[in-house]
Amino acid sequence: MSVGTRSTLWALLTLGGVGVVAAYPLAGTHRFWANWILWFVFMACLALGALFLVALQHVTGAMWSVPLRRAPERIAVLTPWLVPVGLVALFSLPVVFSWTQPNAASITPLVLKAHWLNYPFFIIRLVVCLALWVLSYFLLVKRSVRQDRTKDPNLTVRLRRFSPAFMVILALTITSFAFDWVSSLEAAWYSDIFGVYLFAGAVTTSIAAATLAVIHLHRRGRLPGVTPDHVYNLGGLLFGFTIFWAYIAFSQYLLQWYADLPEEVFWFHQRTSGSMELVFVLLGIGHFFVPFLALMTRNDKKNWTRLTWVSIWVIFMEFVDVFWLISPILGKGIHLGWPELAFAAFFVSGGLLVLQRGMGMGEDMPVGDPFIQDGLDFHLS
Amino acid sequence: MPEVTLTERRHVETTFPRPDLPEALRVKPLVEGDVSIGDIGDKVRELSEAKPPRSWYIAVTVTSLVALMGLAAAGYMIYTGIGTMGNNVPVVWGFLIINFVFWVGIGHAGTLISVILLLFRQRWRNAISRTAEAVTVFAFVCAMMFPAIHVGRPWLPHWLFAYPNERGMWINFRSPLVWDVCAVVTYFSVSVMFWYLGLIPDFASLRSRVKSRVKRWVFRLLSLGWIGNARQWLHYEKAYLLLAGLTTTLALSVHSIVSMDFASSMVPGWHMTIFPPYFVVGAAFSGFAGVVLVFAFVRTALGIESYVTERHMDLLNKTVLFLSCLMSYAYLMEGFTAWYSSNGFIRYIFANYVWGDQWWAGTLTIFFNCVLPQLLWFKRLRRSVPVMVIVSAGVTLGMWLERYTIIILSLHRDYLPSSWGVYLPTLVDFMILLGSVGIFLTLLLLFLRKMPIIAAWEVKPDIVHFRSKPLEAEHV
Amino acid sequence: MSESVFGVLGLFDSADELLQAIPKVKEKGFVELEAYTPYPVHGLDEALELPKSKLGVLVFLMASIGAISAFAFEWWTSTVSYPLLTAGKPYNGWPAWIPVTLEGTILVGTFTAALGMLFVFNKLPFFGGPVLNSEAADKITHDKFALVLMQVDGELDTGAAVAALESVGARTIEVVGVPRYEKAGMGWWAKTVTGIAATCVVAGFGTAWLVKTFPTVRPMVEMENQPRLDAEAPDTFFAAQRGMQRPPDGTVPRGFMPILAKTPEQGGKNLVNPLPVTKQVLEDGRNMFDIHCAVCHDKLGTGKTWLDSTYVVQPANLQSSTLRDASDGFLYWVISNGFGTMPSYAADISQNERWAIVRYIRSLQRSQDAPERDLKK
Repeated sequence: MSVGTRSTLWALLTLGGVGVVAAYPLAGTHRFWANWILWFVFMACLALGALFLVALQHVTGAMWSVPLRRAPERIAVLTPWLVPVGLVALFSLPVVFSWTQPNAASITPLVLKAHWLNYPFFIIRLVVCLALWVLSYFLLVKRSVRQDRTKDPNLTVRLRRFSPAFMVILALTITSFAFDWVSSLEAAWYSDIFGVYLFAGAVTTSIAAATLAVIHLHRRGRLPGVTPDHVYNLGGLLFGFTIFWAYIAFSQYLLQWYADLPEEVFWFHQRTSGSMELVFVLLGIGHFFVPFLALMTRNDKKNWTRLTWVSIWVIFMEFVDVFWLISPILGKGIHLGWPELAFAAFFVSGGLLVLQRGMGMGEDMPVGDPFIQDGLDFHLS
Repeated sequence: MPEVTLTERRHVETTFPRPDLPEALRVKPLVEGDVSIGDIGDKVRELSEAKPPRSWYIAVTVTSLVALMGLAAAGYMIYTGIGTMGNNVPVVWGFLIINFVFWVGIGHAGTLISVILLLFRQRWRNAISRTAEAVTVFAFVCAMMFPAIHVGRPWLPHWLFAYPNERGMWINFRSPLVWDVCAVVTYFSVSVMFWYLGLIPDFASLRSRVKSRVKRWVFRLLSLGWIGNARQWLHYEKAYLLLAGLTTTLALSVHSIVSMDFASSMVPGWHMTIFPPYFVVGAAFSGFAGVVLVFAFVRTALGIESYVTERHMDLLNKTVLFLSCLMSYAYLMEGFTAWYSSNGFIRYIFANYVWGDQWWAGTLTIFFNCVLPQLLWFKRLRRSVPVMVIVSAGVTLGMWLERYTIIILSLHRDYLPSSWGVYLPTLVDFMILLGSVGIFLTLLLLFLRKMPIIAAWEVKPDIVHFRSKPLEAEHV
Repeated sequence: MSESVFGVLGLFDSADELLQAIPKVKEKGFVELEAYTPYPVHGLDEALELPKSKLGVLVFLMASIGAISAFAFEWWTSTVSYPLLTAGKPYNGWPAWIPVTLEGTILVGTFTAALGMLFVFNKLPFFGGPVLNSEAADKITHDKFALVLMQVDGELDTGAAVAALESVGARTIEVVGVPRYEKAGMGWWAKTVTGIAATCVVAGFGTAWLVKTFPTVRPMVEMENQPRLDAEAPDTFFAAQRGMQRPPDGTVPRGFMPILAKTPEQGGKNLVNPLPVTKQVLEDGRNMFDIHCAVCHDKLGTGKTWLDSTYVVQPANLQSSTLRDASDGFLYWVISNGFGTMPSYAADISQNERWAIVRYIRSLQRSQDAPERDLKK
């Protein structure tokens, strides 16, 4: 990354930081914390999705992704940064969560959930999740980076042994995370597919981010041997997970719309009526139809330019998704103003700076992986 | 091999050495033994032409009799009335819907193996896809009987179709039962079509080499004059891939729609948003277990170990294990969300699943679906035929019990305790269930001995690759 | 050279040999080539420079049509043709249209892919192909790979072709002749269509005959002839030999109060209006009056309607002083039992409704003869 870009990012970070700090008194604590949680969730989705992609390659023993694996490993560098962001987010508990409000003791559904939604247990869950995520990051990513130097195939064996365990950890922690940090904002609502829903969005975004990273490196000639055939697979995964996300999102919506139970449907009603309807429609078209139609043919999936803009679009749409999930807690209307801009500037530039540091981690390809040559030899038949 | 040094980042060598792999990272090839592409063609022809052993004739007779018994029971039920079965208020949907969902679940085997693994470029599907697709078609034949007989008046099936009746009213497109009709009909016709399409080159291969004149004529007709022209293959492959993509969506959507028969209602325990993917995973689970069962018996009995190798069974079992983990997640989520919902009725019904009056249903479901398959973590057990038969049979039974738990237990104790009741399945219920198993096995046995059971044209390129490049070619 | 030669076919043992032979044969000037393989060989399409298959475009088009048609059909039947509220769903419950739309798309898409590939692009079924009827056909579908050098502008030097194939390593060479049917001609189509039509006709007649000869068994007889008591049917269970029993004398229906008056004057004396004078009662009364009474008595109760000329006897003028002086019970009795030509309306109007009508008649009467204190300032 050039010096000019880096200074721009630092400038944006500072400016954003000032705005973020100012938002607390000026925009109200609700607005502040809603945005903080939004970016916490978004960051977590990106980091966890990246770890998932790494673990997926080990679990399946795939070859084509070996040369590309360093990209999600570097994106996972965000994982340790989830700790400060998450711990700060804990201060939002008394403000925006419906189960912490004074009237919660009189709302029966919330009282009945009190064994799960109480301060100590909630905090413990967050700490455990963060600890497991950081541990997994070290076990998955650092080993792979170490392998660059030692070229020890046994590290791959150990990575392959840990990855299934990581999948179990991810399944449980991302579900708990989704239920705690998004669903319990409106604690009376429940949907058991919600963990999978957030997971689907997370993986789609991280595939898009990994694709961007791969294209970025390839343009600078740092991934020799990587061909459109490799990138085709990333495009295929993006296509597939877009469909998966749409399937989960739609079946959740359809079932709750269909039964129309007051205890469930109010949550969707908040998010599909008034000005939120616009966001809802945008989400449906933008998060599904646009990537679907844009990546339908084989050639589309190999096309670097198309993949670039589709990936950027998908990441943006995932942001819209998390926004759609969280911002209605602030009340009716679309809450987009200078606080949101400040938070975006702060977190996006901060994230990019962290990722830029991560780009220096290890070689651009996992050169120590025993299957690196098999991966480079891959071609579509 | 020259030492590869990485001095400057921008000039990385693009040739890396291939190190010696430790045992844990080595994989066996997908075709074993010294076979040629002619051998697979001969083997497939032999299996479909040779006179089957006596055990086969006995087996077919037994299964046919069981099937006939089932059909007779169904006929008796239609003649006398629904009361001959266990259905009654409050459990108005009984064995027939359980069996329907069960068979549709198993029917997902072929599609998932054949189509999804094709999209993932997993070559190990080639040797097993034909039989798996046959399992799908036969399972669907069994499945489709149940909606036909479980309606009160089976002589009015035309009411399911989209035409305006004498008052100008159309069918209710808002109902998941109507979606079900569309989905199952689509799935059945597409499965049959896909199966047939894959058979065309194999029929072409058999048409001149079989001895019986009748068979020769039949295969000639069914192969539609296929000759393997490069242009024909070009369009054929394109159609195959397009069908794979569309059929994947279909497989995922059909069982989701079946799940919406339940999930769109308000019955406690049914209205959970996880149902669509949960049912699809369950379908894949029972389907893969079914395929494992078929091959566990058939591999050695028919002598196809060179093509359906230990590695195939290992991979199938790994998939069963993976799906079992997903099912465990689903059960966990259901149980947790039941509690989290704060809804007393939902909390009660889930507790009832495992320690109510029919606690054995929920508990055995969890045992067979979540606990027993965990044996498959161990490589030695994955490759042991008795273990895989026990685990897969357990999974099949467990998945039937899961549907029993969901349907019967949720219905027999829902909102009003004054409406609670007991479901007592009758002999007719069991006879119809066994009859459907009989039909499935009869069709499967006939297929195994009369039709090309391995997609020879798909395995031939694998044979060529593995002869020349034992390890590398498979990894994609 | 000869017109009955389709081409010269050479068989190879492996796909690699075939792929290597193609450019060599092209160099020798044979550009019209066809290759036959037992399985799809990758690289063959590029070697032969075959254009990509357009099947995908056709499938996308048809699938889109399928999607739009399915959605539009569902929308139309539920919103335009016969809108029906079921389970509280809106008429245009678009989330509910999605599953069938998806299935319709896939159905149309898959059938287009399969049938389009077979009929449109590959022109199968067709049993008249020259290579299909050659001797090499059996080996091609089994384990050998074939390359056919075909005519260019109707010319083919068979000898040179044979030599070319030998030089690139073909194991067996065959000169493939043109069989009886070179193309799917009219003769073949005529035979096929006639055959299918004949089968259909025979099957149709056969089914009709079978259905007539073997009458269907009536299923679920106990559902149609249920062992239960029907109201209007005879039954041996009761002594009266019928399902519905005669109620004992003096039985009255629920909500029925007997009118203890035999004449209107008695009604006037004995019957009292139980209903209060509220707006609701008057409105109900007006509704009923307009429906049942205004036909003859006119909306204002004057008795002068367009039926005047038709009837010999005039309907009573409810505004007359006689009827103004008559009590509520009198009017009630008349509605219940009739008076002169007026029939009894007891069957059409319930007792409460009749009292409401009476209240309304009173208000009608007051309207036409209002005292001065009724006039607002």
